[in-house]
Amino acid sequence: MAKCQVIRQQLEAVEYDPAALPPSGAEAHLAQCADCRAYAAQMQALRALLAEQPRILPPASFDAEVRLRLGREAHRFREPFLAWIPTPALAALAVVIVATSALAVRSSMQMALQSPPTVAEALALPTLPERALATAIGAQLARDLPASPAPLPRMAASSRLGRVVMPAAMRRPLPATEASGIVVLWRGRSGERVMRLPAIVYGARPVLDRRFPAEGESSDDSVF
Amino acid sequence: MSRLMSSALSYPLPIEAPRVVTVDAASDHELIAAVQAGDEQAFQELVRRYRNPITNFLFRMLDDYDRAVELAQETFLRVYANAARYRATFHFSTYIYRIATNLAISELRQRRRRKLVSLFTPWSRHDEDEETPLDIPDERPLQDTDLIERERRAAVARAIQTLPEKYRAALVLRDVEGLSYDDIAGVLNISEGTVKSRINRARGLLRDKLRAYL
Ligand SMILES: [Zn+2]
Repeated sequence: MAKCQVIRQQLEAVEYDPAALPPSGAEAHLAQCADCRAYAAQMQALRALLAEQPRILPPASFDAEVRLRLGREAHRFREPFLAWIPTPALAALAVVIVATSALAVRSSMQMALQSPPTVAEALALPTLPERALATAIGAQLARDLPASPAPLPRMAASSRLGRVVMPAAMRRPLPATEASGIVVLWRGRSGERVMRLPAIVYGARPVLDRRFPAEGESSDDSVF
Repeated sequence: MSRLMSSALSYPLPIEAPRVVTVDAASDHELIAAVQAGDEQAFQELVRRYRNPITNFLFRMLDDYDRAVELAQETFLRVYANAARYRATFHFSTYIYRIATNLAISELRQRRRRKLVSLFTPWSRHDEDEETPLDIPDERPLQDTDLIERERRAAVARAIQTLPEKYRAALVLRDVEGLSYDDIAGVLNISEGTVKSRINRARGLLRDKLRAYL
């Protein structure tokens, strides 16, 4: 029986290497061992059965379907950083958005580095007039006040559109900790408002709201 | 490479072209190099060369024609997608069979998971043709030889489906596709010794299941 195992392994080895000759002794063993003869015949028949299985062909539309899928699933074959975008059109759009965003960031950085607009320029702006005007007023006040401005409650300026009034009393130095902004009186259509303008003016916030004076009251409200 | 092949097709008889490289004559490695350079025609030629064996291999692995065709297409899409990373370490055939084998094995594992889920879903109907034990064919004499042959082929196909994945892949690559042991070792990324033992094991299992036909 152990001999049979060896012979069967030797027969397999012949199949692995067709150039090899049948092992010596195998023929003699097969001649006298019916089990091994049956085994060898069965294995040969099995290989024949497997080999005779009909070859299955792809449909005639196979190549066209591959081409179609190649186009439809193109996002899978792009470079990884764009691979999440489902279609070529969207990929192109993403590139445009990234490029324009980069340009926008660059130009806004350039704007930040440029000098702020004058009050007159700010008034002429079509959009965001308040913020631009506040920036302009801040810049003009900064020019008018080379030293640090006065303490917050005491310093004020009255502004009308296009004009900033700066009381002379305010022009005195102030500790640096309080020099981060100035206070102006904002007079608009809806009323008046005392505003603190920080050195960087974006986000100026009111510190005191004030209604228009009633009839007969003094309207001299330029300085607090 | 790419230009050469296109011009060979565009101009049938170039005056001074004793060494025209045509798509038909190009080796697989030449073709994949051309695909790397963006040559669509070279890719089409690779599809033409391998669509039949890959579809047949997947069909024998899965016993599902539609799924075999889909995964054969997927195989080619992956060849295309990974063309830039292809290295000619093996035969191209080894490479493409490896992609197809991985797809087939993951498909079989998914099937097994689905089957497991359906076993625990009381109202689902269990697929009866999926990895069920091989039916012993009845012994009635059939006069129609076509019918006998069809039945025998169907029995072989079903018997292959009962083999565990790793034995199945080795056996189909060897006994159906006719790959060398060396190539199968490359496809399955295992040693030749392991290939031999898997094939022997698979044949032993098939011999038991197909005794009636041997
Ligand atoms: Zn024996």
